[in-house]
Amino acid sequence: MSYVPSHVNPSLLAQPQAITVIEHTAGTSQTIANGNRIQIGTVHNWYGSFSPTIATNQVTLPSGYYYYVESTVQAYQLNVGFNLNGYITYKHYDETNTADIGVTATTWQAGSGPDYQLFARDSVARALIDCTTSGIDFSVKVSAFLNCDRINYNAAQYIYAGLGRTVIWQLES
Amino acid sequence: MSYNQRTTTTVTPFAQVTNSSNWGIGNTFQPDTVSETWLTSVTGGYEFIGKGYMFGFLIPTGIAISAVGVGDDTTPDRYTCGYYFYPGNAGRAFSDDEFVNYGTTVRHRKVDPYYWPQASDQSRINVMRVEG
Repeated sequence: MSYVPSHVNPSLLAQPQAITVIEHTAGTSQTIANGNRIQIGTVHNWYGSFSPTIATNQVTLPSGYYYYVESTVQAYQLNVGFNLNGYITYKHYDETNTADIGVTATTWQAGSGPDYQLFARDSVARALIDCTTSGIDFSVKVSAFLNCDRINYNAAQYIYAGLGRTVIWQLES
Repeated sequence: MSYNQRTTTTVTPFAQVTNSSNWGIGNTFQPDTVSETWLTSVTGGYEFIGKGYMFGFLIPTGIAISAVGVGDDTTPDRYTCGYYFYPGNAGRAFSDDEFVNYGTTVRHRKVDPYYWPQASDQSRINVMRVEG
């Protein structure tokens, strides 16, 4: 995320075309497996009027724009003995061109050690996608995990963590 | 890439809210530092007329397990919350540290705290105006 000092004239900064948040599907049965598409659900159009098409957990990004996309998930240990040091790594995947895009993220539970310094990890996957000439379908996929077996789990304990989301910034080309 | 802004503004659209010492968490606590004058003081935070995208996180100073959101509501939507987490506790759900929201008021709100200590002076809330 870039930063503009207050002494800089910001008159050339643009408004985004739209900001849309996709609420991931919450439930008790979504298991974790490498390569699985994370289940996504309700679209919340926060700014502008972009409401992407969603089919089989893939999001369609129309052509004519740049897109900045962020995704994060919640994970939980249900049948794995409540082990320490659980994690899940995930990424954005270009379904149209069958390629990983952007940077991966790892949401993890540190165990009983200090976790307040927020060091050395990024728990939001990010991608800047150029759709100025052609649109794509993308998904959020699991690429690695340990000691957690449910994702976006909304039964016991879910109240202590946020559930998964994908934030899409639609930017003018 | 570059852009030409459609709606001209005379101030930066980026603002940050912090506190010079540890945050006293609660619905009426107001951080003491805001970087831009277009965010004006209200009970429990700052606000401006218009719409903006907010993101931030709180860093606990002691044992803490809780989700945190921002906005006018006392119970922000679960998918906008961040996780307030120290130390780890096996068996809890875990997720991103950062909360996000979109609205007209910057106010931090606690959600279903398990333990609830102060937050450190490194905690912050950022606001981006997206309408002039």
